[in-house]
Amino acid sequence: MIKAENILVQFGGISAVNHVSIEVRKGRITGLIGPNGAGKTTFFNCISGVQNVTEGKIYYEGKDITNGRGFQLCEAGIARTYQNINLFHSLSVLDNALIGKHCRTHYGFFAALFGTPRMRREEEKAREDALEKLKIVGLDHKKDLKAGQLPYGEQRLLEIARALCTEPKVLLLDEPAAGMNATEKVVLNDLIKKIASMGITVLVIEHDMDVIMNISDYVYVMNDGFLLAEGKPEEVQRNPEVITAYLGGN
Amino acid sequence: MKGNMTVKKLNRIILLVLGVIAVILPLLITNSYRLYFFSFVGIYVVAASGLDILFGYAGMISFGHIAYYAIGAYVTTLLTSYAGLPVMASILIAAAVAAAAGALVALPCSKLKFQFLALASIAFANFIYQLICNIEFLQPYRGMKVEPLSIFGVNLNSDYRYTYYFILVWVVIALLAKHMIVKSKIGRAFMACRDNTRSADGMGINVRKYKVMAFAISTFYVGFAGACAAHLNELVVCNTYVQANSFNYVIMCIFGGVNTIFGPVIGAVVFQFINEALASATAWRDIIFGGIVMLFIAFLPGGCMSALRGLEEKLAARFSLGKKEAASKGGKKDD
Amino acid sequence: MLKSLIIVGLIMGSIYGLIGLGYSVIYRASGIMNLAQGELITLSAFLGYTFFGVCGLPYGVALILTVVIMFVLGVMIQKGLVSRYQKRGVTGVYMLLITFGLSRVINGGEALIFGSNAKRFPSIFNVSTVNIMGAHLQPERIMCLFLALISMLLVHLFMTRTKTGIGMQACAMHSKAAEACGIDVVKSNGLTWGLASVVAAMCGMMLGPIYGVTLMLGANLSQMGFASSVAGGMGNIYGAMVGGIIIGLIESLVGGYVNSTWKSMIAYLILFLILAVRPTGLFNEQAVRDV
Repeated sequence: MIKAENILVQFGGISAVNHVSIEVRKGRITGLIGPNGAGKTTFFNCISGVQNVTEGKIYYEGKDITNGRGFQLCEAGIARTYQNINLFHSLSVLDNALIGKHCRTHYGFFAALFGTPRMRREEEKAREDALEKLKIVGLDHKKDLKAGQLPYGEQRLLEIARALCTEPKVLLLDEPAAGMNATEKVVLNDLIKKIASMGITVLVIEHDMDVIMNISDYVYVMNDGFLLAEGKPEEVQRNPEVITAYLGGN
Repeated sequence: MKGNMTVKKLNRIILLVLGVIAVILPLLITNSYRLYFFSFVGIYVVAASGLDILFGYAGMISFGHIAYYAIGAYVTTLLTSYAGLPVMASILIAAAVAAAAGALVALPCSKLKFQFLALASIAFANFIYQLICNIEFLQPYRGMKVEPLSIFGVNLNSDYRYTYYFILVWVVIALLAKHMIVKSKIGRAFMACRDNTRSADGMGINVRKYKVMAFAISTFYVGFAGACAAHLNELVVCNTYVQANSFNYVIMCIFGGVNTIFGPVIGAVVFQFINEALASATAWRDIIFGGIVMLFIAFLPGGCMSALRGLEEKLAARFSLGKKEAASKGGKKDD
Repeated sequence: MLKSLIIVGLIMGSIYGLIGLGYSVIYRASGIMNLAQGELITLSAFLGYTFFGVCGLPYGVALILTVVIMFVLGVMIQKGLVSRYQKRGVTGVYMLLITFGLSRVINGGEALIFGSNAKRFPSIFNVSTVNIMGAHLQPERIMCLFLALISMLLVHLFMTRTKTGIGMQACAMHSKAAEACGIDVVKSNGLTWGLASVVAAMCGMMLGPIYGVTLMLGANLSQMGFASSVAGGMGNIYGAMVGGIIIGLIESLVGGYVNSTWKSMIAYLILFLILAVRPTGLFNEQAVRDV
């Protein structure tokens, strides 16, 4: 589904991501783990079009999407959430979800101006779908609250709902469990599995081993900008290098 | 839910009363200068609403909107005087030219941080002002005669009642259009860009495109207002278009409340009344307007609209006795 | 012709640079674009006029009095207004609007106190013109050049050689870290505004004799001032000077060779183009936000 080959990202001579290649297979949950500062988020930003790569190529469904713009990738079917929450804080929960529907709602400026039947139809469709996505994460009863008023964990869920609204083929989750307590993590695990069962390919970043080992079908491990190991969760867990990186590093 | 309904009902009643007052105003006032004044208030409502689309919704500031007001005025003047176009068509073309100018400015400038965007808009407005002052052909200081406002060859300015209704119709159209735009996916995209450009980009919104679009729509409104004002005054003089006048629109938006349909309306009306009342005491006018900006940002950042909303909710809560908790929840106003 | 135009350009440029310095100091320290800077200049000119023209004090004494008053006023603005708004969480464009509101209030106050008629600042020197390399100049203008250079040098020495100045620079870079190092951030912010007001006072005292004291004095010239600080790279103290000289030279040359009524139009066009094409100015600082 997504194939990144030999990705190199340098900031003023320092390599944040050092010739990393990964492949995200269709219909699976792929995990990307590593300690803090391993270059996971930078790598993620490359795939979602936020960060330009210095070298290397990224393919999505066989097409070259290297250094594509974020909004174009979103339209093509790659959606993401953010490690530090990036919601539209002054807008309602429903509006946040509706903004996710932006590129799946098809009408132009003049249709909006005159309120044509097509515009009404599209808006109605978008609204229904947005509510449905909010229901999946369990926020439909809070649709009129401002996004900024939600508790932290629910803001994370809203980010996921908003990303789902863009009708993605691939969903990139950047540390979705950060700041969540144990109960919330269980809910999140179920949610990610549910999303995968909807036929959406998932790539998830975590530094929390437990979460990722629970849900992932395949795991990549990064450390210091390099790809350290890859394989099935059980294999990776036994890999001595990974254990050193996680335990011996500090 | 019930409280929400009551707020909505209250809104309708207030809107209806204000609408009726606006319609019967010419019957109550016969003084033609006052009607001219109220027509001007209408023009400012359109301009302030235009700035609000940019400032309140898309989150970009402009201290140079007077430039587009000037472009609208001079383009329509030239089109009617030299090309002989009918006034209404010429006003719309002038507004479109202003919008095109706005889009051209926005193309490089929409990526600037707000302070620098503000400076760029000031520079552009000063440039346009100086340009007008330096083109002999436009008779900048003596002023250039403009055709009176007319439709189908009927001179509306012969009786300011007609002018007033003409402007009123366009104010209603402008507000409706603004309502339609901000309620659509376009308006949501504007607000997304305002709140968080990074995730707007991630949600499939072409940030650059929508910022330019917001600029173009906003300057269309202002250009339209400028063109109407030229035909209402029947004269264009360069002094009208000094950059400092751009701040008037900003003050109107802050006073009335940004990010609303009726905030800029309230702002424009009150601004014009204060402006008129203190026309001979400019020092006090400066102090009052400066003070309004400083006090409102501190104590009422939502402007008059947020105060009105709070009041309405209280009233609504009182109407629906026993449903208090529902009333306090249903805060979101319909428009 | 060319030589005298260059001299005039340099003199105007140094004044623009000094005005721009006032913007840069505050922008650098707090990220605020202070739209009231121009009004502070006007106010200083009125104060200088009062002390020198009305009370008949010697120019030097008037200058010192004005500088002291303006310093206190600047600190008061920061303590009484800006920091209170910051505590309320007012940031970004609303802070810009606060400084705009402040400029209107100051301007209205000036009109109430001093009246709206233009005042003639009496000439400081007995000679009416001095001839330097073919350029006939008011001696006040030459004094401007020297005062501008001296002020610039003093600001530079203050910022780099004194403990307070270095502390202020540290606050500008990272206020939390500066606080952790034991620098009094609150005091430092106040001093920054005081310093910017002192710069405004110098400008007002220099511009008054040249242009006459009017309510529009600061508003007109301050736009050239921020044009220079933008051209030099907003927030860069030395950039403001270079930018000012560039703008002054362009203005003077356009005025001399093309058309004198076009000169401010060209200056604004250049400012607009700089912002559109290279908003970081000549000396790089961050002006670009997104996409």
